[in-house]
Amino acid sequence: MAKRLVVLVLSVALLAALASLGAPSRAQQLDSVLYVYNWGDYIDETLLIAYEQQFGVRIVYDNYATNEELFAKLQAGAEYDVIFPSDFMVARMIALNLIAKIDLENVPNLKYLDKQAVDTWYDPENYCVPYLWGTSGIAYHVSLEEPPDSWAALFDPEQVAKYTALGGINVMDDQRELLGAALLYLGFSVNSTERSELEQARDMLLRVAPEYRYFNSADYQVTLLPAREVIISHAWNGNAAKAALLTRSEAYPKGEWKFITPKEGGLRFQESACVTARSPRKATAEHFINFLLEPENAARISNATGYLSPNVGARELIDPLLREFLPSEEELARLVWVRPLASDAQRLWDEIWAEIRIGG
Amino acid sequence: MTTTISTGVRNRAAQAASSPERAGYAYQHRFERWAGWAMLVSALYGTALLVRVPLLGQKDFLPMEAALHRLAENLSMSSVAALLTAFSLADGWLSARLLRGAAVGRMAAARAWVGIALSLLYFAALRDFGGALLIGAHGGAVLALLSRNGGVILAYPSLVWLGVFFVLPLFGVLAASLGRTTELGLIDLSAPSLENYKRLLSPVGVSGLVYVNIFVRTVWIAFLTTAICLVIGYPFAFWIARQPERWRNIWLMLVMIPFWTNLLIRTYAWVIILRRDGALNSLLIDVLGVIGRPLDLLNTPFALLLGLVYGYLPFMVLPLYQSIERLDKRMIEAASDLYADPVRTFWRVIFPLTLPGVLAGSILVFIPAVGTYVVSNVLGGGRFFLVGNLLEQQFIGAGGDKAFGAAFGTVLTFLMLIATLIYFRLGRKVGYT
Repeated sequence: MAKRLVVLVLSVALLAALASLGAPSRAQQLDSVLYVYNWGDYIDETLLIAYEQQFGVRIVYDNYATNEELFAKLQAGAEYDVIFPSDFMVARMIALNLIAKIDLENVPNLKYLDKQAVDTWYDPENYCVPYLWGTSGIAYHVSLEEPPDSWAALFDPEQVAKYTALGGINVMDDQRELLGAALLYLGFSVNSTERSELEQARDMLLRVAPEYRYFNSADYQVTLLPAREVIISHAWNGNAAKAALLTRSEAYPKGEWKFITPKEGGLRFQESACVTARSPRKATAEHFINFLLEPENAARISNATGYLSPNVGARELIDPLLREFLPSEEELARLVWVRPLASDAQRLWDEIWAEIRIGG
Repeated sequence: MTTTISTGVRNRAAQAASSPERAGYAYQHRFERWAGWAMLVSALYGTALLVRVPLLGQKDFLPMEAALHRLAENLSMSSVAALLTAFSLADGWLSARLLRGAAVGRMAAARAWVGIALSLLYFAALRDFGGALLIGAHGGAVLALLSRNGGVILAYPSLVWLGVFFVLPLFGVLAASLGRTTELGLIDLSAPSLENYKRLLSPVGVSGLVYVNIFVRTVWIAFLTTAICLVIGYPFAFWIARQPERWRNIWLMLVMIPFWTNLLIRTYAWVIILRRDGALNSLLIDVLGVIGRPLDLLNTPFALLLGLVYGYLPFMVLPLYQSIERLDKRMIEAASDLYADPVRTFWRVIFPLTLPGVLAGSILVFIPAVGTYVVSNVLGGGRFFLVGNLLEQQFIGAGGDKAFGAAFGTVLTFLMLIATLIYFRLGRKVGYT
């Protein structure tokens, strides 16, 4: 009995070991599988299927919700090949050797990218390839007679009272965005580390925060805006565009939501496609990233997410409605990058933020 | 090692059996044979890795494959192959001896300890948690079997579970709470201090003790949730318990059905009901015509409590039902025979007798309610900043100060631990647990 069991177990083990031999050999030197880790709702998922069918690479696709989540997973040893961190996180990951430098020879479609999106502060040596970018500002419902043009709409008590009466305000539950916007409104840097400046921003926010109807930066574009739970919202342009796409109807052929970059300026961010340092499938990862940079694919990603692509080739192919959310040259000049904070400054920001959130 | 463990056990086994010597021997024999099977498994796994890693160069399928490739990059593929061959041969030989009933327990125990030590080394060098867990748990399992103690063997899986998923992380959090988060988001433990705990108790800006405030606020909301669940759940459980027997299960089933759906989805369902153009407002305006303009129901304390009570009510009803159902009806009859009115009967007889259920339900509702952040984000519209939200922000949000978050988590864990201990204390007093 025992002998027969041993034989059985042995043969199963042998079969398992040899199973891989039977798999068909692949024509290209692409790997059989690719692990991709992206933000939720940040790609056209049919592209993944298209890639699988065209190149015979199985894609394992997972989502994260914040940069810190991605960072924590990678640090814990998660084995992903392609990731999409935001600007400051790219800088941090390069510093910690979590990202491999992409071989630009393998990504010829880089030629379609806007030069100013490729030369960035966070990735001067081009470890990564820009994927999508955006800016924060104010989304407003088209029924508003006078659209807002300044951050005052969110921070000036009179205006806050007015918009609250008209239908309510949503602000982002994001310390860099909300405090950053408040600092911009007061004429300070979005990366300020001056206690007095941050305290001014805090005092201003504490006066108006109880009036805000929502603190939502997670899903407002699909929940709050289309349902008209609010009349104006602190928003990223891509999310405002998504809300516009979702509310297109006969009465509103261009959707019900519009977006402005306040005259004081807005915060700019950009996600890049990167290959992890631990990836054993670097060539396949680069091949996949190159695939995403095909103009028609980049356009499909923009159309699905609402976010703008740095892909110049895709501009003519995207939904015309999205083009309205592309900042003009003059607006582009008013955007500022969010920079990482030193530990002490981070703590200061954190404490100020806790005060605002508990007071709001 | 083995002998010291086994002597005590042999006595126990001997006491339990009618014919001490023979029964004790049969016990040892069986468990050592099982250890032989465990060794066979590791020998086969080693062989499979030997075939797949050095020979075929595979790295995507079985646990440990990728890590062994990394090891090969640092050493050489031939040394990895030699290592695997040595282990497979040793384990194969041991398993053959053990399965034949030879007395090689000592050697097998030594091999098991090597496995445990190796798992630590392996994790330190290669950072492959799954592989380390496999090696270590295998070594532990062999040791448990060689102890010949049925109790240890039965408890072993849950000990591994508790150790890996509770004790280890708890110590990790405790250690992290003494460190400092660096600019790069790492935890620096070179100068451990209680700074993070001090920060918890220090006033911030113009708002006073912000963190204590968040804590008190959270406990208050969790308390309200528990109280409301109790007030709704008690009569409900009582009513179910008094239904004819075959209906009871159907009612209980109905209480549990919402659990088949994820809490997040159920919470979002409330958004659809409560929002301005949602189901409730359209019912009130269009169908009943009671109000003229939509009510703002979302992101009010009402919505938050509604979501929490809705989510956790079954945790209250089920233990309550159990203790009410077990209630001896003759006690109630005796009370009325002694001229107690219904109110008095309830407070003097029924309620004290069902107190175990009340306590169990309360603790089951209170603890998850303290840790909630989904409900406060979704139904509270982010307006209610609770402990769960603060923790979320420190670990996966823009706050990013993991060491501070760890300190907050540690305090929370200890307070919950105290609450649970009080519960067990009270439970003993009312004859429960």
